[in-house]
Amino acid sequence: MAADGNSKFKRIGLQFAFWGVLIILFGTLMVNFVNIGQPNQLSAYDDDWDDLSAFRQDINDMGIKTKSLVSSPLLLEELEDPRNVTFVIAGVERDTISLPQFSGDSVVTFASEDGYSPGEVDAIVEFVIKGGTVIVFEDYGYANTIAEKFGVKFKRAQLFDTVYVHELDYNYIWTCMQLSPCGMNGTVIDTETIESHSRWNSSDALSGRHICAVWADLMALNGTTISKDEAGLCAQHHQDGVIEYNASYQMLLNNITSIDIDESSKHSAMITQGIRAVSSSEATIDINGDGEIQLSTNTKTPDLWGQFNLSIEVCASVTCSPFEAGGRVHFIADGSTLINAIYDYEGFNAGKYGPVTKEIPANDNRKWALDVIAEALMGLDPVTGMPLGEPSPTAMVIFDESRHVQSNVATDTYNMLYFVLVYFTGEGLAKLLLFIGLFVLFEGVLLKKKDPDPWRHVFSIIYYGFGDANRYSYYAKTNKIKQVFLSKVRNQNGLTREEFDSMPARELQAMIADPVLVKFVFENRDFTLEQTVAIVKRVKVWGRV
Amino acid sequence: MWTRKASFTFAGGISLILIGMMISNHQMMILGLSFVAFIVANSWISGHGDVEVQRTLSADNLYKGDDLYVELLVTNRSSRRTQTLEVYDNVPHEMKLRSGLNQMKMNLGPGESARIRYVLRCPLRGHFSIGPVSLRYRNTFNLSVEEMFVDHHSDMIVFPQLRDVEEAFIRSRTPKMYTGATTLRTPGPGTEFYSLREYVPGDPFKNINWKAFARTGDLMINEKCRDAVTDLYIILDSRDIARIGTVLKNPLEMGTVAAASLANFFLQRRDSVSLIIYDEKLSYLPPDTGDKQHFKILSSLAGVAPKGAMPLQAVTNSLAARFSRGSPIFIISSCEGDGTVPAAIRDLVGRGHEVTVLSPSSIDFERLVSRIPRMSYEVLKIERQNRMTSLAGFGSQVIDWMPDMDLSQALLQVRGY
Amino acid sequence: MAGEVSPQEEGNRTLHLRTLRKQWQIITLQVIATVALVWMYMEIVSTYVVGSIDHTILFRMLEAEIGSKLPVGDWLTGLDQEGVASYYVPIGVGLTIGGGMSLLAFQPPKRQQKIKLGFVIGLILILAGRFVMSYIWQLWDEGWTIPDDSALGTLEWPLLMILSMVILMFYLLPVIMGTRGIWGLSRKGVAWCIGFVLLFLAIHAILSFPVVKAQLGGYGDKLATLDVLVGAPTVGFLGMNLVTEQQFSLIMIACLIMIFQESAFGVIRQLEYAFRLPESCKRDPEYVKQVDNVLNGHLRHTVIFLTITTLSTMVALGFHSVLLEFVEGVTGSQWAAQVSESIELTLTYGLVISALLFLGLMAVLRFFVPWQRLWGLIETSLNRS
Repeated sequence: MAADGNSKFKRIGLQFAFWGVLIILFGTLMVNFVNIGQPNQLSAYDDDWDDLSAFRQDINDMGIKTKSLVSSPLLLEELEDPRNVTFVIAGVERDTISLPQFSGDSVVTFASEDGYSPGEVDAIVEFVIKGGTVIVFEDYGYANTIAEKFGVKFKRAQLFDTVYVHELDYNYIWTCMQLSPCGMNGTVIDTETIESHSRWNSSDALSGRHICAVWADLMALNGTTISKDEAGLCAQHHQDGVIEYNASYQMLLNNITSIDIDESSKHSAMITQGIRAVSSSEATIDINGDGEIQLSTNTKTPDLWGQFNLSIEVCASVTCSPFEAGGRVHFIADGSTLINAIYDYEGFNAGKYGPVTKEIPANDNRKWALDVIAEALMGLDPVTGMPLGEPSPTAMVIFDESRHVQSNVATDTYNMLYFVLVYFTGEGLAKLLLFIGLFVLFEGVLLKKKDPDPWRHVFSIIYYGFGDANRYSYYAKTNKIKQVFLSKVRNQNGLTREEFDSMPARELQAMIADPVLVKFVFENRDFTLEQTVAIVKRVKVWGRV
Repeated sequence: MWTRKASFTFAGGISLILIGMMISNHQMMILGLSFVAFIVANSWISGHGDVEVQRTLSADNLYKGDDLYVELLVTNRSSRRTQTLEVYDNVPHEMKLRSGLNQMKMNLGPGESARIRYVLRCPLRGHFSIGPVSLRYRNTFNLSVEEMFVDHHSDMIVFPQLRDVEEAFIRSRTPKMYTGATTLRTPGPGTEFYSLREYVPGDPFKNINWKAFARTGDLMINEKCRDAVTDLYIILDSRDIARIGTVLKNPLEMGTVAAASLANFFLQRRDSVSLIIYDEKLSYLPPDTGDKQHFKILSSLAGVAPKGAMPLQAVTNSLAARFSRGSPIFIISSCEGDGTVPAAIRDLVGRGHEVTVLSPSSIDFERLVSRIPRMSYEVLKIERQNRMTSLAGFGSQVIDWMPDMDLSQALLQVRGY
Repeated sequence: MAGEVSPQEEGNRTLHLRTLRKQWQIITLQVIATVALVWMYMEIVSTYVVGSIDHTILFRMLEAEIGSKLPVGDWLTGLDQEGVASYYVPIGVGLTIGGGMSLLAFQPPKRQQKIKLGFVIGLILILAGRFVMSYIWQLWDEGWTIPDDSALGTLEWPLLMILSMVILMFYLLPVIMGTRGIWGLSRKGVAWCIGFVLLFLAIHAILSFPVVKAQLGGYGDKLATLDVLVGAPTVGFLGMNLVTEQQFSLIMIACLIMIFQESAFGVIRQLEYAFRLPESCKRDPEYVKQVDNVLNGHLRHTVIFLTITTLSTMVALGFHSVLLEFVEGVTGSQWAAQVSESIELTLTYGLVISALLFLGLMAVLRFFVPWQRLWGLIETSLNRS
């Protein structure tokens, strides 16, 4: 009983220790991968001043489905109709998890670069080639892996400009969606310097004119008037029963960087359409991040001065027109372009997103964002191919939440589970590994898992044979036969061994009384098998009365 | 423990889910999920083996070749169903199932019981044990299986068979000097009346002669004549060489049958019988009478196993002093591989013992399992005959016992060569 | 311990196959298996086959090719019906053929041989009988000539009929093999049926995989595909909507496969056990009672556990909403909102994670809820009452 008790304790102890160690190891693993941080920002699913809930709400109000992507952009490959999908990346706050995967040239690599793994970047590129629209809002984060594939690169250092909102501070910078920078008149934007969007204001639908303008032209042609509700995706341009498309955008940015054109890693299908917004020519970039601007070449890392790109558009088609097959990517050098405080400045100033210390000035961020959405998702007449004003039935906006920092372990772990699952079922190398794993699993089950054999009583008496087969040949030898025969003679005549040994030969011959046997006893020669058999027969019958 | 089916179902389920995800196929994913759900739901009820087991045997002791009736009562004392419970009674492989089955698949409800009845035949003598009872419980769909056993054993002894040798002894040329108890005119424990004497404190009350007491007024005790018995010694050769032949037919098996039958015969005649077994060591059961001695002898014979190579002379030398003078001695041995046999027999005969050598013909037993060349067999046979002749020459009675010969038949062949 | 041991008794009922096959538990299990088989077949047909690759399309194509009606009646092939209804009569035919094959399997070998021989000879007669007669007639009239058109024309009807029957049999293979397995106690039959169904599902899954489907071109478009994105749930129980119609259909297919498999194999397993018992045990009331117990248990578990499996799969697939509500309550709205709207959830990744989480919880429940004891207590109290 004591032994039983001990083994029970040992068993419990072992189990306890096993689970304990396993939890510690798993915890260590999680600490390495789970990335928790505060505060949450740039999420389309939170309604703080620095989140994107107002933008998402507007999209929903327009009758467009919004979705989040919490694992990996690898899933973009699974979308059936990318042409009617817009993928929004607002701030890449965390790096990808480094897992092995195939690079473009089928070499196994570990994603150690910024932001997204090669497989994910490929999925995004494929998505754009198939007609999808991507908007990348980024400043100091990890979006460069995507950007490089599209021939651009984020500087990731803060840009300071003279064109900033004086009522707020130098972090709030004005820019206009146009080729030349807009300037300041005192503390406000000089309206004289405001021009139009370089592509959207083109005259021809096939050369990239904005879809709302095309639609407005169509309605003007037909003399149609519509209400604001009927204005659909172009409601932001609705005025007096018609769509009055206005291609000028006075954008307010916050804590920005700049975007360079670097086509060294660009995908061959991508065409850089052009720079859509620039800073003033007096902007500076604090490259070393020390808070000071030192332009001298004597310093180790001299800061930069001049005009910098703030928005670049890259397309998978020559004209970037929504009427062509390829999609487009909008790069904006500010992750917070669409945060509630700026996007919904009226709501913010009214205290909708918390207490207000300084009011945010009016801006066109909302108009620009909705115009991007309109261009990407407006339904086209299947017969004429003309814009319908309403979103396509399969229109969808996907917000990338996979690179946003989560606030607690559970949520981040859940997202990571998603990531692992998507990785193993979406990435080429991982799929291969998974197949091998499943194969090994089945092989293991097949080889190792044995069911207990059915019970059956087997009656078995071991019929062992016991004997000394070696002696058989010995007993066939002449000398042995001779010895056995002589013993028989001795026993038959009741002689002791001594008496028999001392007996004269003639007496023995007389005693044997069989000439053949006498010859056998006294002649030392070899006998044939037949002769030996005959002798044994004679020995056997010898002495019988 | 999961069965192979469960492992495959689970692995298949997980694989289907993952592959379904890879190729965006809902059917695969849902099929996989259902497989996993099936495993999970069934894991709730896996059955148990918490049962009470009671085995009853028709006899604890039986003779070789007899049938043994076994009943196993399995009761579920717990408040749970056992689910599919397989009960298997572990029977020694030397026993043959004559009828019934030593296992049953059952599903016992709380408090329910089931009886497994079967009959065994025991073709080999020996000490055997039935048990433990193995239990294997599964859930209905054979997804989990657990094995355990109830450490419940039933021991039994299978004695060598007894042959009737009475007629052989009457008809044989064996000297009739040991023909049972004879009455000596000396007081002692016995059956016949000897005399009356006065009561001495300590005398058992049952011996008081109440008529004499009524007549004389003094307590008188009936004294009995001592039943004098002949002491008979049976020496059984259990050396390793005695295993020659098959497991059912070999000198030792035949020897045990002979020893048991002779002991039975003489004990029934109220003689005192002693059993000496020699193998790697010597085991000596002093002469005694009665059922108890009978049981002791049969028990000893049941446990005999061939081993060792002790010479017969070592046996006779060490026990010679204990042998009652002139008492008959039965030596059951193939006399093979022991050069001291003639000397030992000569010594015993010289001491006045009536020695009978019952010798199973080992070469003929060997022939049952081995292809002995004809000529070698004949020479071996002649050599054996020489040995027998020499033993007879020393004054012992020698019986050459062939494998297919019944004991009584063999005893009739006693000869002095 | 030695004691009085009575020999095995003999009861009125025995475990001989002839008796056991008529026992109500066995027949019930067989009926359950058959219903599951037919239901599963109907679900598969309605989800994947009807209007896409069903036999009526093939028959109509054949008729269009040959320019005349097929010799097999439309009522038999289901051509006179639309949709799933076109399978009602063929399924009946499949069940009859499977049943016939089972019946044949229980005949003595000689009779089996005779019936098979008769069948083959019948087919040969149907195929070549008229042709041979008309050709002989032609030879009689015209001398040694090759068969003319009218003689060859007699082959058309039997060949088309056999072709139609082969096509129909191919479509009905799972039903025929399944019925043969259930009623003919053939493991192979059941395994073939399940294998055929799984193979069909696997091939369909591969063919409907977007990359492969694109390669198939126009043929691929005809394949019925399942939605990649999961819609709003409409099917459930206890007032909860848990899964979509299509998901429910797929769950039913999966669970019906298991019901069919477990009941069919269960019957074979128990009968095999009874068959292998020695004669004395077959008559022993103790063995009879325990076989009854095992069969009752099997029946109970088939109903209870496979219902639980179906329900738990449904709950598992709808568990994400419960989980999200819970998380929303615990962690605030942001994460719950983004997960509830996540593309992963609609692409089923999320569904699967939460479903596996639910199944994990279910599995862990066994350590907290003594199901066996609970069930035992219910049973004891039921027995007492």
